[in-house]
Amino acid sequence: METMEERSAREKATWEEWIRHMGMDKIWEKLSSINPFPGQTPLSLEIFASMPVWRHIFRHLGMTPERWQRLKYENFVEWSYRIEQAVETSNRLSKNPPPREELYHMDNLCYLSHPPAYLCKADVGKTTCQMLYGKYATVEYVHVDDFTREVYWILGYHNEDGLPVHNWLLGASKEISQYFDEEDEKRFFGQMEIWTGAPNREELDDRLNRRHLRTGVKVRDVPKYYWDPYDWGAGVRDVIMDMRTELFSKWLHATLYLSGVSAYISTIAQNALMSSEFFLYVYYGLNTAALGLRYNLFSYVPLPPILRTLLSLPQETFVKRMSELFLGGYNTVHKYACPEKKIPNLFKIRKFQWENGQFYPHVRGILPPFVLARAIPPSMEPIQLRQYLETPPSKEFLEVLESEGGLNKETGQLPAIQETGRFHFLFDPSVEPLQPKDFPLLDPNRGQIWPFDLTREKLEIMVEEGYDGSGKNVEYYSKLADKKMGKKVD
Amino acid sequence: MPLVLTKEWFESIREAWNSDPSNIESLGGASERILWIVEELPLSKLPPEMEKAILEGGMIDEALFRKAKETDRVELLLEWREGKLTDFRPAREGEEHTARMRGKYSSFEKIKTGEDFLWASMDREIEFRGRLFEFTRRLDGYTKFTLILVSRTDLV
Repeated sequence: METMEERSAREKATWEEWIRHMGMDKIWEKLSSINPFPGQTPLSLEIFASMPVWRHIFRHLGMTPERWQRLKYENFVEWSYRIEQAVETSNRLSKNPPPREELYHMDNLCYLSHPPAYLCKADVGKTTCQMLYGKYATVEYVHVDDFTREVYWILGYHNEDGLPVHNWLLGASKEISQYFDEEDEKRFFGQMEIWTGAPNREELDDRLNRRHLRTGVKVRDVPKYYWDPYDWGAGVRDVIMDMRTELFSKWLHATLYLSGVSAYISTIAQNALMSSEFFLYVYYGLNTAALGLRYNLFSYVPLPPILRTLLSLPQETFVKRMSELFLGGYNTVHKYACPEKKIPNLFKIRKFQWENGQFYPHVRGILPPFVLARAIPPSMEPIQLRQYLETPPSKEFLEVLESEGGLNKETGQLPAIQETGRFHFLFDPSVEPLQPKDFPLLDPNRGQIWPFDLTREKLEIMVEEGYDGSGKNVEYYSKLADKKMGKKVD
Repeated sequence: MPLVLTKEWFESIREAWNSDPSNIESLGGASERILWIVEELPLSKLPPEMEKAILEGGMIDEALFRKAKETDRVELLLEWREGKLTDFRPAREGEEHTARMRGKYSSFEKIKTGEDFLWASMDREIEFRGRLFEFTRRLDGYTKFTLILVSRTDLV
């Protein structure tokens, strides 16, 4: 019987051979402007073949080794403060539930722990969190550097009855703790009631050197031995269980979930412009067959059973159901918890996405959520159209799928990227992208919320009627616009 | 005298390619027939004496040239055998090819390095249709060809 280590070595070799065969290594060599460490190969480099805006964003940021470390810190700190904001918002709303017209107000939406990368309503979040993880859960996110393949932070939080109540920073490398300011130190060095951290930087870093009793592998080095993000979680689980008994014993009754993700992937997921876009990434991250990949981009250990069920749905259904489940069928433009001064690179990312759209330069403008849900990505393997779509494509969309995607109408099969050289996503051309100038001014710390079925016409009517994007009375303005557009309204 | 689509133009590009062993090497001994479509090539603005020179050269027949002039679009067929450019001429309608490259002349003009070519193709300024692994292996060759094509093209 093959051991996990042997299987990992085999899978890594298979991936490397596949990357060479596809010529992805040659592509990566030429993408030096997005590579902070020229000459080095990161994990999951094939994603850059299909994520146009992220190629441009990383080029726009200028990926030097310093920028890379800073970006890792900014993602870490934004993640941490989102968690803290979620604890506060959940507490506030459980004591004072908002009136109906403010149910979807941006101030009442927070990043709960599934992970803190998309906004949801606190009350819905409570139920869904229990549905996902159970009544008591501690979820720790294990972040891995794509180039060194080292774990550089482990952070998560504990949920009681579906709501986050306490944050646990288990470890952080000095590469990121070097950027801690006074505000960070207060939290991460264990001086706040809702935080469990470590006494100092050295201790935070040193915890990543704890070794597994059987394998002797340090927590930090686990991704060097195990290939798939699922196996990273499995590889660090025993050590984290022990550390939980030692350092986080108050919450020992909870189920411990681990999640493994790399820096590039988490940057993309955590900074998705909109919730529907994030759900698309979740679908691709956990159901990588939809991209024709043979390994996970993101993992949960163990995988909550309901996610397995949801992931068996077509992409469009998944994105719609997730939007219904967490946001009552609305779509948010994500907000940042930290100010620009603390996360200047993340603010640059948001500005770039807002001005150019989620699929720049292939699409100029912001794609409405219902169009995003029906996106057809380039796939590394031949794939069936029904993997993505719930309902048949429009005539115009079908034409694009045939002419640009090489769709076989008889079988519903789309050929692989190596057959067509298609790097771009395909979208329904009959729907016009939205333009940032049509929206109310975006404050990246407040975000906005809009109906899932937003079109350019609906957006214009809602803004004309006085909707400001904050979520206040969003239901009323959405119905009003539908009425004006001649749609049947309940 | 501007130089595009004339017999001289086709020959000089072919010769420029074949005379430099590094060009042949850059294609890694590839053999392929590629349809190379150049759009927004300002043929409609060519002076009459240039048109005459193109038609007298006999590389392109009149009907095909008129069509190219009307659309400012030309379809070229390149045949490489073991890296050598053995055939380079206007493509005939429906002619078979193993891969296709398509882009505006201004997009080809912007190419200076293999990295530029890759970004242009990933951004769909230059659209490649064919097998990805062949594209990635031949990227340096396509870049070199683009540089020769643009440097030998003289438009008014």
